[in-house]
Amino acid sequence: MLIGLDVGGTYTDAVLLDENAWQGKDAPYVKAVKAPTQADSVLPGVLRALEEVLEGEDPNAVKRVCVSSTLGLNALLTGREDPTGVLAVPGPGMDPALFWGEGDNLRILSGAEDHRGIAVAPLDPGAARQALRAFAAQGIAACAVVGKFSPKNPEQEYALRDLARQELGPDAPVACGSDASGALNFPRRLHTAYCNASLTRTAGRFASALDEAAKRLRLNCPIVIMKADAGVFSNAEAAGEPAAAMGSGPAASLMGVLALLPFPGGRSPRDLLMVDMGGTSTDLALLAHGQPLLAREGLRVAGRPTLIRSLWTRSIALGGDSVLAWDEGKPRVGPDRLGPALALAPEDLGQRPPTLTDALVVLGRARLGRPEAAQAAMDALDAEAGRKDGARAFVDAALDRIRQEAESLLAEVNTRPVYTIRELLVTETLAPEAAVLIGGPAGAMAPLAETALGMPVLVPPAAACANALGAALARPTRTADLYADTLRGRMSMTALGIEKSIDHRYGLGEAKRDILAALAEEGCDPAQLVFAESFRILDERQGRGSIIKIRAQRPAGLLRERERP
Amino acid sequence: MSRDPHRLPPAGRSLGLVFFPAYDWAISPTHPEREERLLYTQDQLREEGLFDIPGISEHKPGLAESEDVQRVHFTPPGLERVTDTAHYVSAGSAITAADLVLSGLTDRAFALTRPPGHHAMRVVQGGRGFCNVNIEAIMIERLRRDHGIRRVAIVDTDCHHGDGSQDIYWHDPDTLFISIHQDGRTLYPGSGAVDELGGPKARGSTVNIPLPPDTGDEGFLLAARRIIRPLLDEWKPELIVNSAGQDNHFTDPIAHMRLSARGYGRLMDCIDPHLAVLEGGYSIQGALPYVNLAIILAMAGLDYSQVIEPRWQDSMSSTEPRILDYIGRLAEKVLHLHRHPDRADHGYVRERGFWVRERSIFYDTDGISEKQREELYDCPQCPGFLVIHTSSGKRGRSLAVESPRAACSACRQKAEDIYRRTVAEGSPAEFGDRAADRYERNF
Repeated sequence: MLIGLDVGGTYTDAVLLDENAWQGKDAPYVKAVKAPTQADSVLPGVLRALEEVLEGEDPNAVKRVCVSSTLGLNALLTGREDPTGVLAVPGPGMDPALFWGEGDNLRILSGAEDHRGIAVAPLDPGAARQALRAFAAQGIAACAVVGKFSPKNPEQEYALRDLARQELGPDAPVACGSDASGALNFPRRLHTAYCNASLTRTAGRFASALDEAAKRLRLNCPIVIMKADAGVFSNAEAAGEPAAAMGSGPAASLMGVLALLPFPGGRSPRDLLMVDMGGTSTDLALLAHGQPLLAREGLRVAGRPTLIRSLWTRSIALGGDSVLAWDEGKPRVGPDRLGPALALAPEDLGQRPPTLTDALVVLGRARLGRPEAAQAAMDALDAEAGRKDGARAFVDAALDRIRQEAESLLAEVNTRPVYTIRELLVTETLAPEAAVLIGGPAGAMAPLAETALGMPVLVPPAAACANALGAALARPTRTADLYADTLRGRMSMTALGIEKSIDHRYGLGEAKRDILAALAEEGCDPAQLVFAESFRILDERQGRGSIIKIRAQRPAGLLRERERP
Repeated sequence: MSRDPHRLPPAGRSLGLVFFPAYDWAISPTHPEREERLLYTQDQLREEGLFDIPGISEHKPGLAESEDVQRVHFTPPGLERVTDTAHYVSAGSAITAADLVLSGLTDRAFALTRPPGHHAMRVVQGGRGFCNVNIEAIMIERLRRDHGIRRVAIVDTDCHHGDGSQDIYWHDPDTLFISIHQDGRTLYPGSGAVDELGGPKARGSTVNIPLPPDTGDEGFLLAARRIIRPLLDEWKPELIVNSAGQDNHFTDPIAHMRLSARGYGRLMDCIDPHLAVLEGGYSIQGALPYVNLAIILAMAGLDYSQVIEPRWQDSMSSTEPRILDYIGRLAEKVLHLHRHPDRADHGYVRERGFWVRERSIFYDTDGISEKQREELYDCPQCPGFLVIHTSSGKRGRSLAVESPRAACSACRQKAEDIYRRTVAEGSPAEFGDRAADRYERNF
């Protein structure tokens, strides 16, 4: 048995499924439960959903529990992350004051590494210590240390990390920019390291609470955490790199869609648009050639652009609980939310605007609790605007908004830049064959969505808990970047903590073997190469050599037989 | 909604970048124009997080068509023998950048692309100075067709004289071509003297500013403020295009100037081009990453004061007082000649109603020598049509006839007659009727 949990804005979903018999069924799970999500803390909802889904089951039969939570995301969105100091070594280029918020504790230090990772200015350890002591004096215990081009040479960052541990204490959360990602983007690396440092303690507490709950519930299996890249990592890894777990919601949903393919009728589109409509928001994501499509750069969270590998998504503040209103004669859906829908409320809630779910009830698309309450509220809203067709106009407006966002997402994907003649000539345009609707309101929206989106719309069985299903079945992922410069004689894979000397004969073949072996060491086998490039270089002083850049990953996918724990 | 404190500051002007490093193309493995040329620039731009700045956007290049090349060039060896896909992508990048600005999508655009083009002349027998086709000219002529613009100024800031662009626009009174470069007496290709002012029917539309070796930031800025900016203000182009060569940098291995990255930024502020197209620059580690960054920030209206090269010292980009004095005098001379082009000899002789000149052109990249006889019809109504007799050791003789955009109907007819007659004789010939956007050849 596998358990998947997904924390949404309104509900926390949990499913229990038989890992060997979930495919091709109308109800691909043994049990599905919902627990309300608390506004200020995700833990109670997770624990309650876990308890409920385990009720009457044998805990020893559970082989894995996966949690997709909004823990880190919520902490950042509400400003409850730990106070964190940032030491930056920007060297030549844009002034960091241009892209770092004023309220944050950023200290600029001298030192520099250039675009090949060559140290072109030394660090000033004295100034670094002074900055760290100033942090400590302000009660700042967490610290991010980030250098420009550190994935090419993490030396200056590592030196700062050692200083930070000396000054702030051996247990202080210290995040190195190059640990989180080997990709280039200094501002994003700053934000990513900030997220990791500032969430370390929150994530650590959550991880301990999960472990304790597992013990209490007599679960004897690994607990893993869903990531934004649609993979999972262990509870312990999540405590060390909490930023990667932010934004996992759409990822869990898309994996659920992938798990449910082929849909009844044998339909199994390889390029598809996912529309996941929850109570609070609607997430769009894409499957390209049967694979989740990842964003080029990374997740943007609480206004911070990061290097966190994440699906290429759009999130719209529009869901079943979105409030309906007339705005200068035009129907407006959201962005405010008010749950539950009137039709779902156990009793009369008095004068209150209807929600999108109420509009679907009025149209007869959804059969829920108290349709008369929905009708009354919709009538009142219609009367206010002097109209009769309100419900339909609101649903159409919601669908139109989704269509616009989907078009803009696709335009973004299809205009992505390319850098070689070969790519330019062969890059295909992504055109989804179908849209898959999941989430609570999916079934009710689907018949109308087909016209609005201009493509076939499919609603898989278990659409309402596809997210939890995806979490249950997602496999581990990992991404690593290798950078080698034979003239410098160095190779680094900073995100895996690897750095070594190489000689001038080090080539692409050897580099590929190194990165795949390193990933295999991390339990990611087989991994695949995302890109592998070798550039001949000619240095005026040092002569000929080569620069090698490789990214390899264990991509997102479903647990295969042999991987199921 | 409150302002998001972590969002990068918006660009003062929106800027579209078409970045195309052509990582799978090189002239030869050790040639300066090779795969890695933009490698470090790309890493620098990525690492700076430039593409996350609101207002700075990156765009995928389109491919230029063969008709775009034929709108500008005559290619006696055959189009396919002097071009490959890289040239179509490079020109396509420039066109994509230009479309961004002319369609109003962005205020400014920069095509960071290779291979370069400003040494490619109207007739292309092969490669010259690493260039086969003229990227800017292909872009400009496409813009004239698609967007109906007429008056265009090119400011060529490559350290080498932009002799190809000068040749293409030599007879065009609607294109102001300004080249600021290291004095041709000290650097390839040797041309670009102050008295090169344009053909007999377009005198003053070509402006050359040959600077002495060792000119630094202040020297360049002096020339830009005294000459380039006033000429642009006076001439009032609809569009300003910068051929952005980056070999004036103090670390360039081929040239001998002393401009810094910030100097380039200030130069851009002064020229304020709508479009920039990357040209030469072969200090790929020490200069390009920083110069490109400074240019981009300047074009986007953002601060570039921290783009300081590693180990930079003031003396590396300073200009000696005697050079500043020289540039002051040079400015007066250049402006004087621009206003009184009749004071210099244009080098053509009259023969039966035509202005005629003969010259030799060497294609250093491909080792080809070309002999040209150029005949410009001296029409009282229009800029006149052009007949070029060209021959090279490798390809033999052929004829190129061009009727310009602004040709009168009589000239269009005469030009076509000459082409038809040559074809009837069985000799190889090409014909461009620019007003009709039509190109023909018989081989």
